[in-house]
Amino acid sequence: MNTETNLKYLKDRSRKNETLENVKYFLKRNPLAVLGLIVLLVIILGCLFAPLLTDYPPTKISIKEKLVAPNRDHVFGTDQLGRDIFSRVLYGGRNTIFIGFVVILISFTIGVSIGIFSGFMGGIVDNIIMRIVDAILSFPTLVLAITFAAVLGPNLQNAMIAVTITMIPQFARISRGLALSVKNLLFVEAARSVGASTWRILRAHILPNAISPLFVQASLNFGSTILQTASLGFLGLGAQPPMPEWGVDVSGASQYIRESPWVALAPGLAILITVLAFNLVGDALADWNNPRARKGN
Amino acid sequence: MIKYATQRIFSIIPALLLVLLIVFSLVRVIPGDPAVAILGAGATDSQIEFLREQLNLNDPFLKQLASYLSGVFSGDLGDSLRTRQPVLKELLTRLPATLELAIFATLIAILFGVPLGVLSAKYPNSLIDQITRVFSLIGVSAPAFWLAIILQIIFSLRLGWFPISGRLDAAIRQSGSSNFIVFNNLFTGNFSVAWNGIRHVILPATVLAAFYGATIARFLRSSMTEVIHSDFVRTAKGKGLSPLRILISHELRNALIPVVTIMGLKFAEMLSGSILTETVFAWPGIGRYMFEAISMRDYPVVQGTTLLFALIYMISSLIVDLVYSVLDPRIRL
Repeated sequence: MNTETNLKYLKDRSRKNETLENVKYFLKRNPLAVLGLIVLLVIILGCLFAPLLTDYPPTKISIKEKLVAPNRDHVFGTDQLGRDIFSRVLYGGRNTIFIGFVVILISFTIGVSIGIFSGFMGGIVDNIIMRIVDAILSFPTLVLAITFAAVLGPNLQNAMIAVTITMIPQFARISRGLALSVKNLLFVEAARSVGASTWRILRAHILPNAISPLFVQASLNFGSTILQTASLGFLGLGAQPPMPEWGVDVSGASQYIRESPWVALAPGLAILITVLAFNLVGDALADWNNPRARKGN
Repeated sequence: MIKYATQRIFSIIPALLLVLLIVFSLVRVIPGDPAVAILGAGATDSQIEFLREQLNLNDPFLKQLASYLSGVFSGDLGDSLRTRQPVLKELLTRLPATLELAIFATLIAILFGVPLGVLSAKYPNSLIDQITRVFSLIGVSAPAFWLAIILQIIFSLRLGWFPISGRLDAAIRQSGSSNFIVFNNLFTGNFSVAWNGIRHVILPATVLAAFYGATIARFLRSSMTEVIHSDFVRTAKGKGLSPLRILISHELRNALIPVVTIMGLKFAEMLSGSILTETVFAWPGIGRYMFEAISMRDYPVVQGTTLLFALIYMISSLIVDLVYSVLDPRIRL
């Protein structure tokens, strides 16, 4: 091993330690974020290991046992078709959270690419892209998602496309601002002067310097993505029964609340707790990234 | 000021045109023939042809766009496929119900949001601060449709305090029931009917207010925290003003400016929650109208309500900008 690689190795190691220290410090200072992370972990593990936690298949109908109040066999009771609600919440979470994850991943990738490209290019390209982004942002997000889902046709895939369409401009707007603020810094100028290509500057210089506020935004948007997906499901525009999904299950239960209120309780509570946990983590990260707010606390 | 206002008003025109273009394109992005999608597989050729004619689908694209735009600017949003009535007329008869709901929601949100925001800023990390934090987190995290059902279960079915749905008891028959029921009856002195209307509006308004009030409390807390430590508050204290006087005319007055901005920006978002809330509470406003139109594939109505929501959003952010420029002259520069 020569001296150069040795040095590089040491540098990498110290940088890794620094990141770890930062994470530790962040978690120590933000008990609420830790709480949020733990709750999320429990929910995600619960959904992943659903087959181990319940013997009831989520779509197994048994009319004889319909609308049974919570008891030892059915912890959350059974619904109007005699399906075990605990099982439906666990399997439903797989769908709801997975949908949220895919939507965020796709809209993050597309939105950030558009935004950074637009901010870096400037001029007419930037102007045109941003006018379109502004126009999409002129709709309340829920209305836009509902309208697109309604027009494309009621199924899960279209609901995901609809929510993705509302999320892309939000990421594009923020990443454009970040690209603008980084674009004229000296190291970008330096990279350009040594002849780096546009693509290389975007990828190696601008993106890494804009990425942490973008992750904060992604964690905040996760909650609203889940809320929107569930709302579409509730309106009959997302997942279709008998597929277990939290929004769909609340909707199916709404006629039976007079005699059997527990039917609506569990799936809705699952949405609330999951979104709440994401917001706890996202808020803490946002405060952390904004030194002015950090000092205020 | 006038120059800034005209500039700002004209600046929304390109965005408005793009919004119209998006709304116009909505029906055209339906995969396949929209007329077939609307009528279903069992439709005859002549039915499909009739609908295509009615939706102007046989014209070239640009001609369709031109006739749509000229229609919108002359107040014609097309006819509902279901009722054959002009969409604009149907929207206008339902708008007061939604506005009345929104006004009550805003009142409830302010009633809870402002005191909670002030108290939690004044006593940071106290019990009231923690309670505010929990409430505002739940307010922004709870799905509106579920909150609506939970309130129905608790306050209508269990406690029996409020009616479960609708705008008035079925026994009360009033003509023009799609107007401002509560305000009309208050002005005409018909207090028993007005009271009945208020009892009906409280639960759905609370659902809309949850998100809105939570937002107000959060932003007021952070802006109050800044204001409390500013020099002019120390000066006011030094002059020996009473704490109440300082709170009202120094602290709140300055801390509310950013909060009012956020309220304006979030107003349309709160209003779009009415699609869910009105559906659960059978409230005859534009939100429920849109929901019904979606399940009946009544696309002109879906387009019309979407446009209306976008317009409300754009106009409220325009108003926010104008009000802000009056409050803070530096913006105009």
